[in-house]
Amino acid sequence: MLAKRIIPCLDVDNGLVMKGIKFQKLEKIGDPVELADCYNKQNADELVFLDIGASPNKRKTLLNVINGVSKKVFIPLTVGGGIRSIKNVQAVLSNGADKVSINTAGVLYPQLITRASKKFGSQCIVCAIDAQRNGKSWIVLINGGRDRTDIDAVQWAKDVEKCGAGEILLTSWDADGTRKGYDIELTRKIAESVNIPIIASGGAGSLEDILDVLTEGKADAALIASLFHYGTYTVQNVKDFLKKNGVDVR
Amino acid sequence: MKIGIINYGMGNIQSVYNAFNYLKVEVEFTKPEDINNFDAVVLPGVGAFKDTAILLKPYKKDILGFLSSGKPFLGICIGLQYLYEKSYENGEWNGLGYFRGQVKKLPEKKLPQIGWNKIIIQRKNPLLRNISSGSYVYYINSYAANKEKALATSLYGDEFAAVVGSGNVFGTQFHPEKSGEIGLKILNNFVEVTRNVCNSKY
Repeated sequence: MLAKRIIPCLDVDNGLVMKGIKFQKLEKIGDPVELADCYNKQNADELVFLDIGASPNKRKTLLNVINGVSKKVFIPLTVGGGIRSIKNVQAVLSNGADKVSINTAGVLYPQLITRASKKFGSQCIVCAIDAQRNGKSWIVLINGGRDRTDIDAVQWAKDVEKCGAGEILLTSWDADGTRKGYDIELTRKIAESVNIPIIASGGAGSLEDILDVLTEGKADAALIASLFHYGTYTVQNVKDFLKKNGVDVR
Repeated sequence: MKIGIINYGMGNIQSVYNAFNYLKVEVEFTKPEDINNFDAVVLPGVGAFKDTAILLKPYKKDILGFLSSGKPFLGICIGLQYLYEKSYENGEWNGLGYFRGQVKKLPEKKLPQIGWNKIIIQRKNPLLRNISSGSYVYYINSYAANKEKALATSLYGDEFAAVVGSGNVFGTQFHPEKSGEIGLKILNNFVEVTRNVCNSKY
């Protein structure tokens, strides 16, 4: 059976790894190639790079970063942020990424998900969903959390699966960067609604939080940024804890 | 010693190139019809069986000729599946028929299988030298070949062929170029097999 995955997330802006709270208040963390190499050595299962400043100029910088990482690090690499066209997907894949994460453009033009998964295969199309709690349900946010839609997040997860997405990267806007734990209810609800893997993101503050989202939350993978970037834990620390608690990890 | 990676217009083959490059082996992309210029050949595979079957159909003879030459060959993912007789992915497609058996959908609800799974080693082989049973490797697949005669198997819904090999013809269903240290070790074992074949010629 598959091991639960621990995935460090590197938010890249202008060639540097940054970290924010609720998608804002950015702080510099360091060089992406060095960090990628370091997390790989710590036994990370995959790496996710999110282009948070996605303008065409900065995009080129990110592609260079991916190119550099893919020559040194031999685990799967996912790239997201500002992917708007088949051409963008192609550029990212041909620079060494294994998967591409589509968010806003997928919400605005779901055909992009369909076309990209037909052309490159479902296995390399990840749909990122930013969800915000809205009473008893969750709505989808776009444009890096700046704009609300009236789309129900659980329904959208089912829709992206139908469109051909191979995985869902689910971020709780409410939990992101707070270190108060993942939104377990949201994660579980979506994990139980689809048959594709869920990568849970937003809110990891302790080892227990990660254990909870992978067990109670039924996520297949946990995305972690701050805890690793600030050196609170290494990837191996997290895996040792999970193993001790009966979770299969690599 | 020079290793060729067959470029037939599919998927992310750069990472296979990067991995051999990292292992400090001379490696080049090659057209399917030029494979005889190399000491060993890798057939990478990303995407659907159908595309590989259609694109490689004109070169079946070249590839089968290479396989019977005794030079090392490694098929990755669809590259392994293509060594078999047939795949049932989106229809019915013929492979090389070098190995007997068929490629079928894994009997599991969650597909594709995306992630790290254990390999269970069934037979000793130079490709798996210093690899322990229970090692994790990275998979992205919905289809797989039957486990009979496999060098190693994995379990996802059912047991399937993770590593196959006969003589110097090998295949891995997982992606060694994305399986971290273990994957690099397996690729390095393939390089060693090639080195031995090259040396024994002189």
